[in-house]
Amino acid sequence: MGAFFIFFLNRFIYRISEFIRRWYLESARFYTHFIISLLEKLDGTFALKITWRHFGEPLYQDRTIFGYIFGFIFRSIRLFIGAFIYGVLITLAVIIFVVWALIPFYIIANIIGYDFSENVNWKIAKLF
Amino acid sequence: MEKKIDLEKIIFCDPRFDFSIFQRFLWNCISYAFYVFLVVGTVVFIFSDVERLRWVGLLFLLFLIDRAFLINKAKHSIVELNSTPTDGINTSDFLSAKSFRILERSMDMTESVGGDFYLNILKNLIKRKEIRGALWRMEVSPEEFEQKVDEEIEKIKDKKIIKKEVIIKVEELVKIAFLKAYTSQNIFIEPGDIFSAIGETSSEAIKKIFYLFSINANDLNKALIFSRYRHKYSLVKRLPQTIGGFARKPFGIRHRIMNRAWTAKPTPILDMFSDDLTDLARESEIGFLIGHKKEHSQLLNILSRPTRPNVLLVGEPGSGKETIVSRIAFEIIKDKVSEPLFDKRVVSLQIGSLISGADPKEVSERVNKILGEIISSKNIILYIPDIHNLVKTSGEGFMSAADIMLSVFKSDAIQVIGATYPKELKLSLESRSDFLNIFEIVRVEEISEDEAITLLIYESIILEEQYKIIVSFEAVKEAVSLAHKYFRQKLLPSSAEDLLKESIVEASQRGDKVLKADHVISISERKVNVPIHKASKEEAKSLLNLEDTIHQSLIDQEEAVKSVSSAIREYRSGLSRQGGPIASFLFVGPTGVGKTELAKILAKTQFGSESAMVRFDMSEYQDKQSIFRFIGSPDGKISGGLTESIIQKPYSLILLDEFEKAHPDTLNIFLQVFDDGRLTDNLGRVVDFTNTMIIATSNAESNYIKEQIENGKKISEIKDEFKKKLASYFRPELLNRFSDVIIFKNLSRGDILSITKLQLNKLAKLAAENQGISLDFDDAVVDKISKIGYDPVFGARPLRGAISENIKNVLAERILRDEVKKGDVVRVVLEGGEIIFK
Repeated sequence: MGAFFIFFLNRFIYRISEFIRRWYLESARFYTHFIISLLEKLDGTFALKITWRHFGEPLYQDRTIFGYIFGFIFRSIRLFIGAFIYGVLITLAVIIFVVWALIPFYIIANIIGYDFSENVNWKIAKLF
Repeated sequence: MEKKIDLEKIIFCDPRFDFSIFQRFLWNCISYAFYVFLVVGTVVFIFSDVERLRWVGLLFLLFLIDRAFLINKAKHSIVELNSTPTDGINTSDFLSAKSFRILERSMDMTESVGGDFYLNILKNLIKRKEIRGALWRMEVSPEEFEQKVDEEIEKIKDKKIIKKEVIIKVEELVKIAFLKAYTSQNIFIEPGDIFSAIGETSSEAIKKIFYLFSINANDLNKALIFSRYRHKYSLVKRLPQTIGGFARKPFGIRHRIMNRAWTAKPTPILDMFSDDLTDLARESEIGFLIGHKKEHSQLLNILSRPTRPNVLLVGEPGSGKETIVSRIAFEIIKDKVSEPLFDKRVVSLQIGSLISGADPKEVSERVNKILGEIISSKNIILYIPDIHNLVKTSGEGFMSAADIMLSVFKSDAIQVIGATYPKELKLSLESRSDFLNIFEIVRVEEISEDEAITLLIYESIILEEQYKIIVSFEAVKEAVSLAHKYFRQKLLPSSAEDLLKESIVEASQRGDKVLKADHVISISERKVNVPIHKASKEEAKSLLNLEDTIHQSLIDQEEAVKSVSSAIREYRSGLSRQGGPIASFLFVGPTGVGKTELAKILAKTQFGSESAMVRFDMSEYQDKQSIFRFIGSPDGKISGGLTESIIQKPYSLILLDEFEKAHPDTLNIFLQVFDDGRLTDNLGRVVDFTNTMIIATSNAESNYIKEQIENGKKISEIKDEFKKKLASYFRPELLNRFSDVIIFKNLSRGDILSITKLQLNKLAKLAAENQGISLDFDDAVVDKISKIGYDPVFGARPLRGAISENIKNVLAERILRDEVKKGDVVRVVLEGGEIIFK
């Protein structure tokens, strides 16, 4: 029966540690995979890397001056839009994950009675 | 890439299996109570007035949501193993909750009631819906199966088993199930994997049940594909319209002609005469590939190299050449390719439309324009199906399309994939070594039966939807097996697809709800005229009396009749030697004693009709070159008479008349046929002779037989000596490969008289059927004809001529002169030594 209770205790600790592992490690892995897939799909349209690599080349192999000029203009626009969208997406993704990572801390802080309005808000305000 | 897993290096360890039944019960009670408490606590806390408790409730809720995501899942996924070492892994971590519960319950049953652990787990498994569904697909009634399991459990229910043994059995079972799940690329060890694994355990009771229902445990996993996809597509998606739709597709990719780098150029003329495979892949029309791993990887490697990036795919029609190319297109749109293929288009050039309505000059112009476009666009991988047609496009004074393309292909400016057939490679391309040298040849082999079954299961899911009929797994399996054996004009999977579709259409027209294996068998039997089904009672009776049936048309030659009858019986009982023809006999004896006649009778009674007999007069194959008339000429211009006949009629009787007269080199090709039942023709096709019976006849040393018989010796007494004498005609290794050498003895006067009666009876029957005339022969006439038709040298050979001259001709004239009319009774008698018709 001793082994039974040891196993029981072991499972209890395992479940809690597993919850924490999944909250941070598993979710990070899943989330990263999701964001990278999303970026890959977006790259089907914005083709940031390829556009950058072929930046100096003429548009559609039109080797006249117009081809080079149009190539420069269109690729610049594409790079700009692409970089902007990628930047917004990555920033959003990071913010979302940081919020996600802070949720358990926030809940625990509230459980133990840590007053955020007293401490955090005030410190942020002090920074500015 | 799949890793090899050593069963010895993986472990199974879960303390819950070491618990007693009470402890496991207690553990389950505590677990359930804990979750009930947690759910109730969460609800109470969330709606509490105390703020801190609300936060605790929220934390509990997060924990419960996390647990809910893990319902029916294992601790780890097998997919993760691709990137980690497998040595020392604990297989219990991969058991899905369903599988775990089944194991636990079966263990409790075995410990408390007794009996065999494997039987108990089988009982628990067949309660599951998906296992019942799979059994049903395998044409096994789940109810009958369950009943049989119950019977077996009842037999040994009092047998007690110690716990340690049960744990060892659980460990063995889970390890095998893990391997099954890993090979099937399942995420967890599911109940289906455990069911498959049970079939590989050492339990005699399980083996007995599986044998009884003809279940191959490995098949279950395949049968489960049906329910897995039906379930998947019933929830969120529509079934794909074509098999290509099963390939996992990316979404949101738009149709495009230009590449993403904006460096390509439009190709309007090429687009007129081609299909863009990358476009089709985007539309999820193509890209699903099963098997052909080797060819696919070779193709990718060759296309990715800097020099000579040109491939020639050589394979029979239906071998999957275009499917491999389509897969490349699919991988390109997924960006899962190397740099030289990245962001390219795979374009299939339609030679038919390229040359249609154009004179050679115009064709040349079109080809030049297309090549120009391809070179300047720089993002085209050109696929040319039936590339041999390119060398056939020349006209007088004009270059062929192949000549025009030659210089461009040589310059490595574009990547080209050509496809052709082995025959066309020999006939049209091998003579054009300059053209052929540009390509590296990749032979596209036929996929395995196992791969074809998997592919056809996916195809069946679509066909089920289209024809509103359920296709059993056994029907799919039978279609593949029969197509591979009997329909060799096409390769797998095309041959099996055709057979399955035909069966589905027919079953659907008849209003059947389920397509079963029997239906596929009966359609195959009709098409190839081969008795494939298990012998029915009626047929078994006729097989047992085969000697009597043959003797209705053949007099005497007991030994020969018995040998061929036994061979046929062994074949129909499934006991004939595997890997060889049904039987191969050498009939030796004087002319006119019934050697060829016996072959004809067999062809008629057992192979459907005399047309099922493929006859070769070996005296026509006396020179060394005649071997090519059997297997086809090396240049592919002459097809093999023997190999082609067997491809067309796989179930047939091959008669090799006057075998000793053929050139020895020609006879050598039969060594392989007699031994392995296969022969490779000039195009590299392996022709299957396992459903043929081969009869070779010979007159060699027939005088010796006559002398010995006249000296009062029996055939059995002279057989060994006679075989030694035959060694001067045939090489010993050839003689030894015959199933039997059968000596035909000379016919006696009595035999000739019986044969005459037989022949005259046949004639009377013919006259009655065709002219309505009743013929009655006097005994004296029969005797007279037998005397005329007998020749000591030629045996009964002149008999046909004698009947024809003395009876048939006279009767025919009298019918034409209207002296004998329909309904007349004609008595043929002998008067004054003359045959008279009355």
